[in-house]
Amino acid sequence: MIPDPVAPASGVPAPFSESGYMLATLNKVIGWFQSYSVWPLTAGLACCAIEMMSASMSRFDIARFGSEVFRASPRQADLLIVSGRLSWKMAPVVRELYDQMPFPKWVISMGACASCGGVFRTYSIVHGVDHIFPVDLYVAGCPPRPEALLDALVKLQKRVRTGSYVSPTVLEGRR
Amino acid sequence: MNEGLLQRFKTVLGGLAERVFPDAAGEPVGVVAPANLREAARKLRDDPELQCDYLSFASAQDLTPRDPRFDGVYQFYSTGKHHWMRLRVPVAEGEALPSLASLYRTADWHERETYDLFGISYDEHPDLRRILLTDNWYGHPLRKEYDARLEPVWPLGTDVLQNRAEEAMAGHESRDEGPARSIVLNLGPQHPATHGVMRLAVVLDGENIVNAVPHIGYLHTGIEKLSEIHNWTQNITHYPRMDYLSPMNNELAYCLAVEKLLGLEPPKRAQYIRVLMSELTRIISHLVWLGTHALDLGALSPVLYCFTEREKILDLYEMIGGQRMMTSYMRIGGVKADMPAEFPDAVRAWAKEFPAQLAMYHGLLTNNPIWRNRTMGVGVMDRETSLNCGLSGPLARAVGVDWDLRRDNPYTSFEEFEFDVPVETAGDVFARYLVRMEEMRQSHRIVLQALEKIAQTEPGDYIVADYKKAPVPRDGINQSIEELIHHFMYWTEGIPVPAGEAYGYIEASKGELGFFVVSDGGSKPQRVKIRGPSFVNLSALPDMVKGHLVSDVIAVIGSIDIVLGEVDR
Repeated sequence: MIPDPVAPASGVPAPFSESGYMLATLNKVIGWFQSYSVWPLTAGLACCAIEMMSASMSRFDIARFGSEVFRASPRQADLLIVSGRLSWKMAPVVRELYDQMPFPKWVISMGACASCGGVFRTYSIVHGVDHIFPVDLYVAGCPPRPEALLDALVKLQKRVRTGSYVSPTVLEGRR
Repeated sequence: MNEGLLQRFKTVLGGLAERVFPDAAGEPVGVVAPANLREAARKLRDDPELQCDYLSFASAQDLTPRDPRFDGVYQFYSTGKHHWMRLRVPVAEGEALPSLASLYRTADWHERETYDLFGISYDEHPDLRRILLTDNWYGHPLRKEYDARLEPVWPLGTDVLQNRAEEAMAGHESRDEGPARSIVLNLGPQHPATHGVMRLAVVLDGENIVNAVPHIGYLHTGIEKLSEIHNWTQNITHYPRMDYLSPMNNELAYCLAVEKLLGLEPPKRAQYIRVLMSELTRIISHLVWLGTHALDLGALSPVLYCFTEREKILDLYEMIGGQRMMTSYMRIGGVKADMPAEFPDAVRAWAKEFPAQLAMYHGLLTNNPIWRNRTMGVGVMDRETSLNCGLSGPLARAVGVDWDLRRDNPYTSFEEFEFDVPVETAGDVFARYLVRMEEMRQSHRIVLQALEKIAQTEPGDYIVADYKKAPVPRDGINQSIEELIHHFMYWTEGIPVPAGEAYGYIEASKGELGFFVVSDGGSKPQRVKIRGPSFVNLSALPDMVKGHLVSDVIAVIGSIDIVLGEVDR
C-alpha cells in the first residue's frame, strides 16, 4: 500500500517515523512541497487588491499559509490572484502575465467582478476572467473579506496536494 | 442663492451668453455658442470679481433628440473667491469645440476624455486621442444609443498592446551611441509601484527623465454610463468602488449632488454622522497612502503599522455599515441606519490611541535622513502651474494654495467644526507628506467634535422623514397602506428627481471630488459626470518628473496618491 504522505494529523506519515523511509508517488510528494509555498503575483487590479494587501498584512497574515512571498515578476510566481474588475484594455496584459508564469500555475478569481463582471457588467469590463484564461477557484464577495481569500488559498493548497505535477517530458509529448 | 454673483456673471458674459440661469443650487450657468467659448472663459478668468482661476472639469452631455445634439459642459471655480459657475456650449454632431487647453492646461485630459466617450472633437487641442479606451475601440460609450451592457468581442490582433503614443515617440527611438544613451522605458501597467494599473512611458537621457507620458484607462469601468441605466438610489452602489480607498467620501459627494436637486436637507444627526464617517474615511485613505508611499521608497515597516491602524477603522466601518469597505452607508437624505449604541465608545477608544500612532509614524519618517533625501526637492511644482493644471487637495495645499472646500464652501455642517487647514509652500514630495500627516491630525480633531455633536441630537433621526424621497422604516410598512405604497414605489420605481442640474462637491482625501448630475425629472439620471481628483492630479505628473531620475518617479507617483479606480472610472 502506498501511504498518503500528508494524511495523518501529526503531519508525519506513520511509516516514515517508524522505519525512516516512506513511499509515495512523486506526484504527491511534489504536490506536498508545492502546496506550502504558493507564491502569488503582485498584480492588483481594483478594490479587491486592497483586501489582498490586507490579507498579507499583520492582522490576517497570509504568511501562516506560506504565501507571503508576493513576487513582482510573473516568472517567479505560481499563483495569479485576479483581484478586481478586468477591463478589455487590461485583458491582453494580464493574459501575458499569465503566459509568463512558469508551469505549474494556478489562478484565483477574487471577487464578483473578476468572476462574472459583478455589478460592473459594462461594455469595458470582461464579464468573468475565465474568458481570458482558466480559473481554479472563484471567491465570492464584493470585495471578499481577507478571510475568504485565505479560505480560497487553503482550498487551493488541498487541490495542489492531490498532485498536479506533470513531468516536462510528458508535457512535451502533449504538445 | 447668490443674486449678486448671478448678476455679475451676466454682466461679464454680456452678449457672449445666449441665456443665463441659476442651477438647482443657485450657481450661475451660462449658455454660450462654441465660437464664443474661449472668449467667455477668458473673461471669467480675468474679471477681478469672478477670478475663475481654476477649471474644475470639462465634459459634455448627450441630449438626443435635441438638435444640436450635445452640450459641452465647463465647470469653473475661483480659489480666491470660492464660487462656482458653469458654461454650457451646444454643439452638433460632427462640429468641433474650441479647446481650452491654451487657457487651462487641465482641459487637455478632460477634452481627451470627452472626445473618447462622446466623440466630440476639439480645435487646436495639443494631443487629441483616446484616453480611457483603446485606440482601436469602436463607438463612443456615453452616447445615448450605445449599449451599456454590450459585451465586446476579444480585440484580437497583435497591436492591442500598441498605443499610438509609442508611434508618436518614434523620434525618441532607443539608441546606444552618442554622449548620452537615450531609451524609452515602460513602467506598468503591471508594476507594484504604480498603485494600480497605470502605465507610464518614460523617455530617458541616461537616467534623467526627458519626458513622461502616462497611459490610463486600464481600469475603465464605465461607471458614468452605468449610472444612466440605474436609478438614483441604486447608483450609490457604484461609487465606493471608484475610489476604493475612501469609499464613504464618494457616496457622500453623490448624495450631496442629488440632495441639491431634490432640495433636501438631511437632519443634523445625519449630517454629523456623515462628517464623522467622512473624516474616518480620510484617515484610512491617508494611512494606505502613507504605508504604500513609504514602501515604494524602501521603508518596509510603516506599511504594516498603517494597515494595522486601518483595520481598526475598518472595524468601525463594519460596525456602522455592515461591511469592511463597500458599505453604501450614505443615502439620499441621510444615512442608511442610525449608529449602534456602542459605536461612540468604540470610536473614542480608537481616537485615544491614534495620536500616539501618528507620533510613531512621524518618528519613523519625518526626521529620517533617507526619507528626507528621497522626498525633499523632488517633484516640485509652482503655484501658478498647479492651479492651471487643476490640482486640488493636499497637492494644491503643498504649493501654498490655501483652499479647502470643507472650510471655504462648507457642506454637511462643516462650518460648525473647528479645524485648521495645513498649508505648505515648498511644493515638493516632502511638503505633500507634511500636509497629509497634519490632515490626519485635524481629521482626528473633527472626529472627536462630531461625536460630541452627535450626542446632542435625537437618536433615530438619521434620515429625512419624507417617504417619497427616503425609504420607509421597516416597522412603518406594517402600519399603514400609504407607507406600504411608499415603500413599494421607493424600491421599484426609485425617487423621481426634479429636472435640473447640480454640482455636488466635497473635499475628498485626494482633492476636489465632484458629481455633476443632470435630471430630466425621471427616476434615472440623465447624466452623471464624476470629477475625480486623481484623474486631474495625475495629468500633472509629466511636469513633476521632468529632469528628475527614474527612482524619483516612484516618489512622485506615491505623493500624488492616485487611485486608478477613480482615474479611469
